[in-house]
Amino acid sequence: MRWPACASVVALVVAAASSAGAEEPRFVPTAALVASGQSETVKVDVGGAHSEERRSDLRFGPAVGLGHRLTAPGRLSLDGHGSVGLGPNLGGGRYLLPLREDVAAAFRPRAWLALRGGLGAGLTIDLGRGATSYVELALPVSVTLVEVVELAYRPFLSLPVASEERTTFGGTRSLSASTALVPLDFTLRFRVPALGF
Amino acid sequence: MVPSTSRRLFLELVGAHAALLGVAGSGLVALPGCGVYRAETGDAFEPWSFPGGETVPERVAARAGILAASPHNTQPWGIAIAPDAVEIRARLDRHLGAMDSLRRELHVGLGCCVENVAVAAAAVGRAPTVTLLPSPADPALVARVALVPAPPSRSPLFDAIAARHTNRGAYVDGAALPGLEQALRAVADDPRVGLRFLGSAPERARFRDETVLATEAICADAEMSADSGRWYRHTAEEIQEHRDGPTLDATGAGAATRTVGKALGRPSDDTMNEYWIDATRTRQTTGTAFVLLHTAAENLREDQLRVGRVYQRLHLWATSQGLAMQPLNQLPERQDREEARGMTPRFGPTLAELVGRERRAQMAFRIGVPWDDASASPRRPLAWVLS
Repeated sequence: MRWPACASVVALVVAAASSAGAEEPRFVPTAALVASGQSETVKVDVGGAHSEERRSDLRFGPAVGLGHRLTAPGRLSLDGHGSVGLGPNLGGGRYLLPLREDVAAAFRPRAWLALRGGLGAGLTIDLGRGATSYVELALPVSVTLVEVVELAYRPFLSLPVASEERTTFGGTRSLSASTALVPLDFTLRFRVPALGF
Repeated sequence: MVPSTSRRLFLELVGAHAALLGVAGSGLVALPGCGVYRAETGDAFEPWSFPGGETVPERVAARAGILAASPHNTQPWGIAIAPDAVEIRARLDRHLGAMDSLRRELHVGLGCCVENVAVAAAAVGRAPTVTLLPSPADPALVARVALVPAPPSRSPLFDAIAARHTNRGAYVDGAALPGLEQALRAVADDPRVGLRFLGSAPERARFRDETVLATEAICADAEMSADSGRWYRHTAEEIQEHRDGPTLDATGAGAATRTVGKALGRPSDDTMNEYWIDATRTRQTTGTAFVLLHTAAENLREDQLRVGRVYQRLHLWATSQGLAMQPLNQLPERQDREEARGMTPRFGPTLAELVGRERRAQMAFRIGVPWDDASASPRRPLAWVLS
């Protein structure tokens, strides 16, 4: 299984790179592997006493997306990228569905190199426990080589959108995503201009 | 020998790889042929559908009995149903060997069974009268629960029977629960069973440290370690065949760890010990408080049965309150081992300091607010334990 997959990836990169010299289409499909952090908070309020604790988890998974140019191509341009992913978190074993849209300024100091930085937003839906779903406000930065291989770092502010409440010893236990800065978010993305339009 | 940290890192990396393949250890994905099975599935978990379609009051009470807590899920009971009573007998062959050198925990587990029978009987219109060790000539007959028709008296404890599971995951550490100690004492309500509540930060830290040391001592004791591991059920086939023992899904470990653990096959005793020590040091000693149940120093079997009834009652009550509990008996286990082998006491004196030198610590556990729900453990069906 491993070698045909690797060969397919290599072929994809070569095909994409061979078309990278031409003007990039306005819309470019992408495929990516994402490793992202996640933070949850539990709050306990019983008898006037308040306790709170936070824990982190790690999510891995693929994502597919569409890069889109917002301005005319050139040494400096404005690009967008929307994606949808799917993958489990390692601790909870629940599948998460992240929906993301980023807008970034792209600077191309060389024909084979693009540097991007901008703002992003997203919604990650916890398919196993909706109460720990969250909104993301992100600062994505990335390096793209030959407009095909992109390494992205996307720290984000996590904001909860729901919570799970339970009665506990006459009080309340509440579980939700944390309001927290999540510094861990890395993406290895492949842009496929050959499939662009 | 590969350092434990490197081995753990390797397993975590493998877990990450497994995650990339879309494998989820919580049971969302089962991979037949790869050893990964869905949690809590199969006939081994059917008894948790309680009371199910059962309508005969004595059988409802007996079905409740098989859902009681027991050491390492050994379920050391046999049950006999008579028209006006349910009898619980000790299955002395279902013991933990060196892990329970004086058979203390076996009898505590039997007491748990007695309590579940009594609670369920009352709920289905049979007023219970419990007689412990009714026949001195037959010490295996640990309890006779006489049942007399009465108006049903359903309590929150009855409703908790099918929801009660030992939770070995992380609890909110140090979560303040004002009034918890008083509530536990009110529920325990047995003049022969004392309760020592360790709720302050220094008390919890000391108990945690001593429990970790006791765990390490157990793991270093080859006989104790082997007798503990003998009950561990790793594969789906083992679970369905035996329907007892600890399982990977009930360990409170993360999903990736459980997935990788199932896929890699049964771990060695050394690996299991490593994980147990690490779990004890981290998530399994979190919570609001540790509690010790103690009795008179004579260490009578009847008192051990009473401790079991109290522990089961406390756990049912905690479940009804949204709280979690987990036995942490490493200290009493080492105390018993020291006595049975004539070893220099190390952990016995620690317990004596905590409960008083004229008392005997029988059972220790933690209680608190859990992060996650616990998984059910397999159960031998009523048909297997009826006599």
